[in-house]
Amino acid sequence: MNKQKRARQILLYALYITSACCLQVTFPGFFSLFGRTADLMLVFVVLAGYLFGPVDGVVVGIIVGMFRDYFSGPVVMGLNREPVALLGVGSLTFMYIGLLSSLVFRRRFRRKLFLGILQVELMTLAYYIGGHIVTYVYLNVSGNLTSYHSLKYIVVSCVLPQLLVNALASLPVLLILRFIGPYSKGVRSRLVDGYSMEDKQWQSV
Amino acid sequence: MRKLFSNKLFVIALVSLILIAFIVFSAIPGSPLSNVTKPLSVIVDPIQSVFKKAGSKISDFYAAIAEGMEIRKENEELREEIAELEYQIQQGEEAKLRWEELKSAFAIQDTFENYHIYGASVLTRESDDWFSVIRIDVGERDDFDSSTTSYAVVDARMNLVGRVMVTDEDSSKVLPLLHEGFSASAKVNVVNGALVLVTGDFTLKNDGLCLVSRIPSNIVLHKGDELVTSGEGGLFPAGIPIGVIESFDDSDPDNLTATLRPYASVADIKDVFILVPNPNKGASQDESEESSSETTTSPETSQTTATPETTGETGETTNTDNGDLSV
Repeated sequence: MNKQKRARQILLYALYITSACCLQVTFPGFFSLFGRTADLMLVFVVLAGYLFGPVDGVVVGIIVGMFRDYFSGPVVMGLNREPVALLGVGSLTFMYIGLLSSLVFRRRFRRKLFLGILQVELMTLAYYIGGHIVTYVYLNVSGNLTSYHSLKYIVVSCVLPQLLVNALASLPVLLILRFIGPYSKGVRSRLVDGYSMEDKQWQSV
Repeated sequence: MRKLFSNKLFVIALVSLILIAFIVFSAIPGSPLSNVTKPLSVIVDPIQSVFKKAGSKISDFYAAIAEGMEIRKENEELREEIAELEYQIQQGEEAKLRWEELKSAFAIQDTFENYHIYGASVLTRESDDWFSVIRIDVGERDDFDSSTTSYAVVDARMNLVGRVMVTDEDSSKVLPLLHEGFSASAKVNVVNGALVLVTGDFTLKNDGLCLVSRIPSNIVLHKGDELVTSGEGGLFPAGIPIGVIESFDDSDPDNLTATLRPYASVADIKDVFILVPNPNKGASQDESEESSSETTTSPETSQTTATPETTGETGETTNTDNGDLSV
C-alpha cells in the first residue's frame, strides 16, 4: 500500500470513527426506533472486521471502544463504595467484537456484502446477551442484585428491537464502507486469512 | 522477540492483558489513570461540539422544512412566506424557552446562596444499557475541578439530575440519577419528613424510575409524595427536589421499598447546573457583594458566583450519599 492509499485509509477511518461515535451519543433520538438507539459504534466495528479482516477489526475496535469509554463509560461501585468510571472496558469489548466479526463464519459468509448485516445481527446478539450475563453475574457477586429483568423483557424489549435498529443502521454503513472506502473500490487487496476480497466473491449477495 | 510479536495470538493476549490491567487500575479510587482521558478531551470535545452544533442547525432546518410543507398544503401562494415565518417563530420559541430556563436557573441563587453555580450543556448521552453516563461541557478550563469531591448537578428547575464523577480539560462526566451506581440520602418533603435512600436500579431505569429503600417501618409513603435531598452525607445540599413517589411496597415489613419518578428527565435535558460549595462563605459582606457582581455568561457555559450572605449546607462532611445511610 503506497503512502497515498495509506493516508486515505487513515483519514477515512478517522472520519468514520468520529462520525459514528459522535452521532450516536449526541443525537440518540435520531437513530431510535421502538425505544432503542442504533448502536452505530458496534455496527461500524463489526463491519470493519467483517469486510476488511482481523487487523482492521481489532484496531478499529480498540479505538471505537476508547471513544465509548470516554463519552459514556461504564460505572461500577469502587472499593470505597463510591461509583468509579472504568476505562478500557469498551476497548477490550470492542477489540474482541472486531476480531470475532472477522473470524466467525468467514468460510461460510466469504465476506459477501449483504451477509454483513447478518454478521451485525450475530454480534449484536452476542454483545447484548453477553452484556446481560456479565451484568447479572457482577451484580450477584457484588451483592447489589435486588432484582433483574425477566428473560422475556430482555428478549422482547431489549434484544429484538436492538437487532432491528442495528440491521437498519448497518445498511448505509455497509454501503459507505463498500463504495467510499477506507480502501479504494471497497476492497482490501491483501487479507491474510485466505479470503482475499480480490476474487470479488465477497461482493456477491 | 520479533518472532514473538509476529504471533497474532500473543499480540491479542498482550493487548487484552494491558486493557484488563487498565480497567483494574482505573477502578482504584483516585487512580492517576483517570487523567488519561484529559489529552483525549482536548481533541475530542471540540470535534464533538462541531457535530452538536451542525446537528442542531440541521435539525432546526429540517423542522422548518417539515412545517413549511404542511403549510404548503393549506396555502400554495403563501408557502414560502409562511415557511420562513414558521422557521423564525420556531427559533423564537426555542430561544424564549431557553431564556426562561436560564432565567429560572438564576433563581437557584436565592435558594443556594453559598454555592457557585456552573452552567453547562449536555454534550453526550448514554450509548447503551451499560455505557450510560453523560458528558457536559464544563471542565478544568472553566476553573471547575471534581478531582477531590463530587458535586450535585441540577436542571434549570433545580431538580436533581445526578452528580459529577470525572472532570477533564473541557468536559466532565455526570452520573445520572437513574444509574444503578447512584444513591442519595433523601427525605419526604414535609416537616420532620422521614429519611430514606434513593438509588438507581438496573431494572427500574428503563421505566424512568428510581428505587427508594431504608424506609422506616412506621412510615407509609403515598403516591405523589415528594422527596427532596436531605443534606445528610454532605454531597448534595438539602432541599433539592428529586421526584415523587410512584408506588409503595409494604409486602415485606422489614424491607419497605418504593419507586420514585424523578422530576428531571435526562433524555430531554439540554442545560444543567453544577452546585459547588463556595469556599469563601465566611468572607466579609463587602467581599461577598464584590463576588456577587462577578457573573459571566457565555452561550454554552455560564459561571455565577453566589453571594455568601448566609451559611448553610456546604458539602464538607464525609460523603455518605453513595454509601450507607444511618437513619
